[in-house]
Amino acid sequence: MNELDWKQPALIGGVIAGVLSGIPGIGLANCCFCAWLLVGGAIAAKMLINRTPRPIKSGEGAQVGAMAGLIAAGVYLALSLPLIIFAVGERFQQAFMDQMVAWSNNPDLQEMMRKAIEQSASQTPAQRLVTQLPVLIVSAVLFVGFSTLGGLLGVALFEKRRDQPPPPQYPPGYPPNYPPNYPPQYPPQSGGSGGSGGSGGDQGGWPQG
Amino acid sequence: MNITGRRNAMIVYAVLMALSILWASLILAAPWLTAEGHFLASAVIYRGFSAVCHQAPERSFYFHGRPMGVCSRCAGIYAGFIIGLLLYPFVRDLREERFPPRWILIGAAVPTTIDFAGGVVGLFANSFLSRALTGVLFGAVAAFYVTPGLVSALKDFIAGFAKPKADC
Repeated sequence: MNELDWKQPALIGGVIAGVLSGIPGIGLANCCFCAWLLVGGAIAAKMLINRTPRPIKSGEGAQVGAMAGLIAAGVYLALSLPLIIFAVGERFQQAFMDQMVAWSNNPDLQEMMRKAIEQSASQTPAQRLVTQLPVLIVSAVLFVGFSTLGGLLGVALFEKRRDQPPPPQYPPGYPPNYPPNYPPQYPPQSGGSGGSGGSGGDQGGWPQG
Repeated sequence: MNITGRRNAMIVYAVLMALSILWASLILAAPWLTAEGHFLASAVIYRGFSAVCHQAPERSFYFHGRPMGVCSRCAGIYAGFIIGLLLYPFVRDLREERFPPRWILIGAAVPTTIDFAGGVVGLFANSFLSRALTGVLFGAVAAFYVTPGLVSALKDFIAGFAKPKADC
């Protein structure tokens, strides 16, 4: 994988997945089998496929997906921590705790839960952060796992060159500048691009597309 | 055929199977722990799974009188994944790195997509059975894509994925 340009695909896939997961409301799509993470991993795999001349192996899809997941986890943590500290989305947590109380048939447990709810309402930002940190860490681990899955499935879906033969391998010691006159050197064109920022003709080589 | 060492493939398979069983155990442990009064541990597991599932009680299987950690569709996918892993060595070589044809994966996703979309649009009401069965199908097929991918990833990792470029 060393020769692959995997950094930009992983970064873009990871940032997309992390930002979409961290935005309240939009992030709820992750309730559907971590949809944003699967999408982020698949985007990273697709980008890697597009920028690599040879077929991408399944393992390389997993690796770029895992990288995207790590980046997504970082972005998600960076977005979520301020939301937790400033108690944005507190109502969702309250609803969850109420639901847990409703599931329990044990009156003692219900009383304990009510006390826990009251305590959480009066928590300081630091206490809130400490309480939520284990959940955030678990989420980050899940992000890497599901994004890896997204990268794998992305290669399975988007890599269409699997049955093509690999490009020819040059033997060791093969001259790197062969053929000798490649790329062709064109004579400088008069009245070309002119400025120092111009590209193509006055530098020789192929015109820049 | 593009194959890797048998030992590496066995490691990947064993780890994947162990993690899948652990994952399924946690899904069952969440309601069991609530029923046993271990509320904190149960709450942590429920909250952990809330990152990957809506956990709606009316769409979840119940265990010990409480909803499982994930909904019926997700539970079906994870159960199907374990079934797929169990079948894998009998169907394919563990050392195989290449994916099966992609139409199988797309075909396996179609029933669960139709079941999900039909319910959302209101064409028909999906049931516990339809959600679980379509999930099992997708999960079982997904195992045939995840396993070769991870076998290939481990091979690449061992071959020096983390090594810096020599020309940098």
